[in-house]
Amino acid sequence: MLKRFFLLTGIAISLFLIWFAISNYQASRTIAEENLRGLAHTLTDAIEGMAVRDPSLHTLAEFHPADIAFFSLIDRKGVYRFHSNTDLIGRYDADGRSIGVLQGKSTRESRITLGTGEKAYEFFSPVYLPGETLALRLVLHTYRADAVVRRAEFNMVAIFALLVVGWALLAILYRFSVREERHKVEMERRKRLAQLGEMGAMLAHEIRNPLAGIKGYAQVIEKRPREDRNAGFAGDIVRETLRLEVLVSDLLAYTGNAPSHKAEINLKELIDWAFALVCHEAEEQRVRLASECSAGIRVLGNRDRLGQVMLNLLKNSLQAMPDGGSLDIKVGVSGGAATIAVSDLGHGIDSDDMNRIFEPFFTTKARGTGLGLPLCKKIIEEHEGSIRLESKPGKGATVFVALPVMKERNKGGSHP
Amino acid sequence: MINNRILLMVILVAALNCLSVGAAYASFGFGFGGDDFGKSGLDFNKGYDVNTVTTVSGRVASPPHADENGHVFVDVSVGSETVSFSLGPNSYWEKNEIPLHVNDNVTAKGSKAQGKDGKTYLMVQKLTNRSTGSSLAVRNERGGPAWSGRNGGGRMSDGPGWMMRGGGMMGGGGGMMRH
Repeated sequence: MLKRFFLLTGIAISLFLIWFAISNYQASRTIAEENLRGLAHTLTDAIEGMAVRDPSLHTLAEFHPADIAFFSLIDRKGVYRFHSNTDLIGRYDADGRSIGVLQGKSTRESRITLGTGEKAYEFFSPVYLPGETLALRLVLHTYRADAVVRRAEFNMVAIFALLVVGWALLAILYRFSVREERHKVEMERRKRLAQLGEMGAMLAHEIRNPLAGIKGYAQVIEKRPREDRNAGFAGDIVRETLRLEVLVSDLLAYTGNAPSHKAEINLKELIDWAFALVCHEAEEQRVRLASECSAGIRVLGNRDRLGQVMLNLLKNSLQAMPDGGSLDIKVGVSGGAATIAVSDLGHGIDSDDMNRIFEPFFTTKARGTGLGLPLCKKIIEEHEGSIRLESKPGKGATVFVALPVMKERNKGGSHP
Repeated sequence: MINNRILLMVILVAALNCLSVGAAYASFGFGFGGDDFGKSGLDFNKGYDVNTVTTVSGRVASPPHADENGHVFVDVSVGSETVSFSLGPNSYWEKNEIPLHVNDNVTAKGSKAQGKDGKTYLMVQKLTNRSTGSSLAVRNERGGPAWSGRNGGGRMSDGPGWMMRGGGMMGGGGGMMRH
């Protein structure tokens, strides 16, 4: 609400400033025109006075005010009776406007461009001499009169530029504040996750040992039950403890620190290894596995951790296709990064869930731990890579993983 | 961060450009349009108006120098005023120049104009250095430039805009004359 108020206020102020600048400019043009008109009338009176005093018009040749570009007196026949370029005196004026001025006995004014390219002010007026009336064509320089217009132009452009800069700075500030806000939210989320991870790690550690004992005894009971029906119950206990073990392992992997040992990993070999582990399951679900990866693409990383990522992604894809389908992996190199795209034709992910898919403990599966994709994200980010997911409900999903590709010179060499 | 910096730089450049454009009174869509000419707004290449033809005498204030659009100008002190004599394109002047030194007394006939930079210019038709006696015809009687290779007629302003008047050939017009 407050933001909207400030935005509307800013827009209103901007519009007012724009209106002010434009109206100021328009007013300046009117002022310049009035100045020129006033000057033209004054000069007309002066010329008329001189012409009345000296009907031969010779004295006009000495009249050289700085603001006059040129002036001429034209009779009813269209002949220059006087011209500030004395060579033209006695010649015909091809322009008939002076006749129109003499007939209408009114003044005319306009802005014209001279043959030199100069923008000038032209003023026509009848001049009444004893016995005859002549048309005065007076052309004035506009530089001095237009000073007010130039000033208004400059002010207008300055206001526009300041508005542009102001709004741009405001946009940048707004962008920074939004980023700061997001950063704060992200920091709070990380802090919460860290606390959650700490608690999870403690719980997992405390649970793992008793869980191993429970599983062991249940397996013994399962093999030698005193009563037959107990074998089934013991089997259930073993299955559940196995699931809990997976959860505990994932939790520990998610909360634990990354192993430091990194080595050169051939992505094709990694994918083939992961395919070999899931091929039986894929066969059972009638899922076709396919990969496109050249042998030379290598990344630097922890083999076990990246293997875990690959397995998690493949298992997720398989779980999304219980009725069969196709699982494709495409590996390429783009902009210094190895890109791995894992695509399935499963049920996809709802758009509402997309934003939470990498959050720990968020799962859409009935028996999922909600740690698979968060763990993948954590491992990939440990390897200075990125992971994202694209999906449309009912049309499958594709996970894109990008990892820094190893440079050629590092091929086959040792790594820190 | 880099994107922000680039954005900021682009905005600053655009704003400064706006300011410079405004300062130069170039086109901004409000009737004070720019043109193909330089800071003076005058057409030194083909521009001439017989209505404003006058004869100016004065003292050379600065040696000839190439300035707007590669045209050569010489500043001449005329009383309290300084008039810039336009002497044609640099290439033309280099081939046909007459000696002009500071404080030489010169007389020129030509079309006078005031630029939008406030300076007074004279599009010289004929220049005479009274100190050395040399003279040069830069344009013909009607203002047709000698460097154009044609003897174009001078232009007169006859209303809004300008129009050619009597653009006929002038015998020997546009040629350079040395005396």
